[in-house]
Amino acid sequence: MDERKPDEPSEESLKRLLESWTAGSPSEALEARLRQTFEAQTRQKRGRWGRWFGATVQVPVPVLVGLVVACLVSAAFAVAGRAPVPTAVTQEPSPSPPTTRGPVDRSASLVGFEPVPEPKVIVFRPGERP
Amino acid sequence: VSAPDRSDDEAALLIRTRDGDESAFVSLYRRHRDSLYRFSLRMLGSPAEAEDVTHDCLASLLQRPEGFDSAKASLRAYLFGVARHLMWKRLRRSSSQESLEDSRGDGVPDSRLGPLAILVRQETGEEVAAAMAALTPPQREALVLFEYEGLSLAEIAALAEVDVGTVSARLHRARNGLRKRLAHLADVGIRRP
Repeated sequence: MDERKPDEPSEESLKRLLESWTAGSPSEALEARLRQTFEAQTRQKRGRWGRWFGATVQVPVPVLVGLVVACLVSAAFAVAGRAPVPTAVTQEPSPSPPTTRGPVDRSASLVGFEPVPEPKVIVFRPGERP
Repeated sequence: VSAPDRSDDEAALLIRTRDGDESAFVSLYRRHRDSLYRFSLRMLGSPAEAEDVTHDCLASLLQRPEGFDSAKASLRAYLFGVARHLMWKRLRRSSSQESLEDSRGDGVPDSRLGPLAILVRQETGEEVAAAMAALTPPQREALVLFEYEGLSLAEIAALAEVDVGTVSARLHRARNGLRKRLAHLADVGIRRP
């Protein structure tokens, strides 16, 4: 059923009107921009370190908060474990003999030791006899 | 080039692009740039925004190559889908009524027409652009894809994720809307060269 009023354009006329709206082509700058994007993308893919430094991790906020709280609690326990525990009864320190040096190894003795006499070096050239 | 040859060819170009072959990427770009740009320009109205969408659309092939599955759709349909997604994001952010002013007369005049015909055609084109801008975005999208890009009703329905009947209804309303707004141009003769 044609709902068109007499003064409205026909289907053929509407098609011709639509054809009058041309859109053209994108500018040359777009190709240059896409080439740059390509190079940047390829560089990032190729570089081992680039991939490492460009990597991102998405963590949901509740998980992040949980991790931070867990770190804080474990740090607090670690600090508490290192602190000196006060004792209820204090003892007088008993006097001990002063030690000036550590244990001595007496198994190695220098008895009978003789140093090597001064060596005399004689150089023989080819054809010479000692 | 027949459709299977073209898709095989494009699959090879895509593989080369993923392997870092810039010339393959440029070939893909040159094949699809005009249709993507025209679609974006007619939907958004701004040449700058249309270029941004065309750029982002093709860059998505580099950034998320796994997003395209040749078993599900042709590369053209996939790129139109990405462009559509990007455009709708922009359309939701701001009504592009102001930017539509920029697109009027952006097209290249047909050199086979005479000076008067070119002038009439440009003026008529501006009127058509304004009438198109007054349509709702879904109606405009259906009309642009059907009339200008030659997509079938089924292809448009798949892109817009609606059924074919909805696309037909949108097209029907879009045509009626245009007829009313362009009634004063019914007698303007734009002869084909």
